[in-house]
Amino acid sequence: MAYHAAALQRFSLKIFAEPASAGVPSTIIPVFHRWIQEGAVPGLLIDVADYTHLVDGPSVLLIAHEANYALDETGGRPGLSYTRKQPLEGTFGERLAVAAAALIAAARRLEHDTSRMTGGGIVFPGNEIAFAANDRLAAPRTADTETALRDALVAFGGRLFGGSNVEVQPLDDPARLGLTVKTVGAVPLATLLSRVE
Amino acid sequence: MTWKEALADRIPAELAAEIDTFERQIALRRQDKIDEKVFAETRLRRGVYGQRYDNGQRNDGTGPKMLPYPSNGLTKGPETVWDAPGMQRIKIPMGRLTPDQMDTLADIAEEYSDGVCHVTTRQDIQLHFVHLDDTPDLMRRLAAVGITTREACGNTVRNVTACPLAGVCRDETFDVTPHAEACMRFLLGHPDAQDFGRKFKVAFSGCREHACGLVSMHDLGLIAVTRSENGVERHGFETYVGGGLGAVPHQARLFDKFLPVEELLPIAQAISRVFARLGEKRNRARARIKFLVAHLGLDEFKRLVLEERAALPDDPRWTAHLSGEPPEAEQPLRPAAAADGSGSNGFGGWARTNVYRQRQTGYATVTVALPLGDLTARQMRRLASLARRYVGGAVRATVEQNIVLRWVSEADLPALYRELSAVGLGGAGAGTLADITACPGTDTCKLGIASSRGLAAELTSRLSERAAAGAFDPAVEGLRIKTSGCFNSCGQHHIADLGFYGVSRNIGGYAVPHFQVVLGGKWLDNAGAYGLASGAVPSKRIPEVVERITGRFVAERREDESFQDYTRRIGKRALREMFADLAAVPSHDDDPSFYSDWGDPREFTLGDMGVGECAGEVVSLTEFDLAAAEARIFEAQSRLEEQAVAQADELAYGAMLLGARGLIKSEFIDIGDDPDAIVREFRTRFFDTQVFFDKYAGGKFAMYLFRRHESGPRLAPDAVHHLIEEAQLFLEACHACQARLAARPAAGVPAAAEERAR
Ligand code: HEM
Ligand code: SF4
Repeated sequence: MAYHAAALQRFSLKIFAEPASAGVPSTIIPVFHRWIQEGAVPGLLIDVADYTHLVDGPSVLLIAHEANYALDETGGRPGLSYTRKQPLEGTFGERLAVAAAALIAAARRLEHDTSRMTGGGIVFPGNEIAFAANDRLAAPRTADTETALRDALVAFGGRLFGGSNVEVQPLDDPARLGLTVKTVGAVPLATLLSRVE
Repeated sequence: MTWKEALADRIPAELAAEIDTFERQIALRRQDKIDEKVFAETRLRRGVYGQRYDNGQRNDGTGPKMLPYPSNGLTKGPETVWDAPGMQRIKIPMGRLTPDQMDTLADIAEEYSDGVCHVTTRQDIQLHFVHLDDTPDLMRRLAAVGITTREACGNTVRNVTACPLAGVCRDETFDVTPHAEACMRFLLGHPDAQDFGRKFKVAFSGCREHACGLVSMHDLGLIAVTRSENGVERHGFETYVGGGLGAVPHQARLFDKFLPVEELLPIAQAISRVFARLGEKRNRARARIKFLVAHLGLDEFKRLVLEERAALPDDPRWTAHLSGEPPEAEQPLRPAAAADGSGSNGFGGWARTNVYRQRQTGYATVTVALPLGDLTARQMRRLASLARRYVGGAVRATVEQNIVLRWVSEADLPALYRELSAVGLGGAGAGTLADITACPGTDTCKLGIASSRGLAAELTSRLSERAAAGAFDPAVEGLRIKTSGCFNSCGQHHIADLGFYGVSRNIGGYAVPHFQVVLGGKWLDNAGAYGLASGAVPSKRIPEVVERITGRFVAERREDESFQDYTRRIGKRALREMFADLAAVPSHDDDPSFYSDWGDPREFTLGDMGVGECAGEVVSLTEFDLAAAEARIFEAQSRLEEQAVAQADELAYGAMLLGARGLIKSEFIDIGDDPDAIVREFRTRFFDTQVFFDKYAGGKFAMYLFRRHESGPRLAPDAVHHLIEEAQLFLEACHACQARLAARPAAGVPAAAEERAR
């Protein structure tokens, strides 16, 4: 049912980091505070939440009005996530692109801002982004919704990775409806960004 | 499709109607058809709290900045912007959770919050960064699994708490669960419990000796006891009233040595009626039932309650829960079996601190230790699934911000430990020095002064390795650390062995985060004693304070001496001297790290404190200063007891200045800290105008402040004792003045408030 995907406004995207590059999560806290000072990423940036004492979830959050950015350790795989809270205009595909643009821009900035840290900065190979629906009403975990979302994400993956070698796989989490889009080989974030902007 | 439609046949009609009403109230407030203050109380009663920065302002570390929420001037309370994220408290009676409820909590944490659930110090669950517009659906989804947020906040009967081991404890007199459950159901929404001036907290404990229900710090506390009458054993409660923490903690007083179980609900109802009728309504700082009990005297209070009880018409609900089988008695899921002694790495240490052998042979209760009371939505869901497989529904949240799984077959312990560890929930050290309690503090609370969570996280990370390795000296292993972000004591620092609450000190023109060290509190015996403030230390040196005090205790302890006995023996002065040298703050140039708080790189400031919401009414800056002044008088008293006369004098004087400053703030917010300015402004604004004057005493109480200000410090203990009493009276007069100001009718508004004031 295409209806579901069309109504879906709450969702998250996560771009995975090179695990060895992710470093100590608490070092990101001052980075996010600086982002607020400088308005470094899109949105009304409100506050930083420190959950570095937890595993398997967000570790450091940058709370914005429209969305939450997070250094995310869900499933033991570090990455940067963008969880949309406020509705966006446009088709589902257009909304995905807007969210992806915010996420990738933030990831670039994070690469840049951590690059001079001792032990090296965080690196995003740019070959994999996970999508998860975050609205169990608009997108319940059913085969129908998954099919509708798969179509949308195949199109999104095509756009993101320039059409070639895109693999779409369901998330490895029985409680969430989601898919990862993946390509072979690293793609520079700037390239990804230019494709969704 | 909406959640309302989707869940229509799963939500009890009454809950559905309440939530619909709340949704309409939100709509009306949007159209400005409900006053913002009334709306604030309305949402608070449904657990919808404000959160830091919801006034649209935040200091980002470079200075105060506007947060331009897209609210178009719409507010959800005084100085509370509509679109600002808020906190949702979710009431979990006795902390009892089912796996289905846990799944729903995980879902809503993920969809409406930041993906993290917080267990509170009263067995509730809280979510942060929630948008007001999402709350009706959030409530519907909870209602569909049998949870209401009604009266989670506001001037109501708050969550009813009980020992998490009730029913499985080896020492309890009897299982208090059915009685607590009945009490919760009976009082929820009861018409006699709607018109309180302040919150009302009820707790049950199965025995006297352990901490269990923390009865002594509750408005109504009940301890299970039995009595033999004509050879028949009867169940009842040793009943306490008027306890509570806060700026000035009160120990509850014995109301009845034996309240038969069948009298529990009628007496709770009668107490509610007396409290609603006679309790203070306007001056919220005097409105807890503890003040009514103190004002009337316990005997008179009791007489009124019994008189009220005698006049109550019979209600079948009073005893319905006492006949027949207990409705939802827990049943073990798996057969009882002894452990076979095997276990993976770390199992032994974990089992030693986190496993409690139940009185039912072959079963154990497992504590899932949650750092800072937090778990991610994913962890919550995985814990629900473990609970389903190992124990069925037997899960409870605890006041120490953990979760327990009851009725674990002992044979399953190694496997359960493995599975918990796999989801990051296998931490050892439950109930040890490393298992630290913290209120929300500056992370999300508008009243927070220092970062109680940041401090707790730092201490946890320093102590938890030792906890896991079993490396604590046995004498300190079981001590408790509790931290609050301010004197309001939501983190229950008064009843910790080592308690800390946030304060700020001015050093060289900078604000520096500090914590008051609170010592001598007693967690056992149902929160048997409250600790006293023993000196403020910069936040960044609190870990050293913990090391020192525990180290000295281990070294100097006499055989089997408890920590309380040790602190009493060596005396407050020696205790204070133990860490006096740590109070010094290096200059900003020498070490700027002292000028920011734990876990927050921004330069420390008090500028982010807002008008807090605390139980119903909105707390103004005036009230905040008055409460801070109370805490200071309390400190002055304890200093005087230790013969620290000069400090006591200074504190009592400081308390009066704070009280005066609070009043001035209602007119002139930027008054600052300068004593001369405070006294001058107070004189012109409140004394010369006679606004401060009492009907009988006139300006007498103001003279106490003027005299001390002009004549300087007092030196003799007697004189200081007197000054403390004067400060107390001055503060009472400030409270009265503030209440008069609050009751002043606004222009054009009918004088209902004035009517009530009489
Ligand atoms: C002047 C305002 C407030 C006062 C006097 C106050 C006082 C207290 C006290 C004394 C307790 C616990 C101890 C007891 O049961 O007696 C408590 C519980 C708590 N308070 Fe506050 N509080 C205030 C405002 C707040 C605010 C603004 C927040 C955060 C948003 C907060 C968060 C909590 C939490 C998390 C608990 C334990 C939770 C529960 O009841 O389930 N408090 N409060
Ligand atoms: S103790 Fe203070 S800082 Fe902590 S939650 Fe309570 S009011 Fe807020």
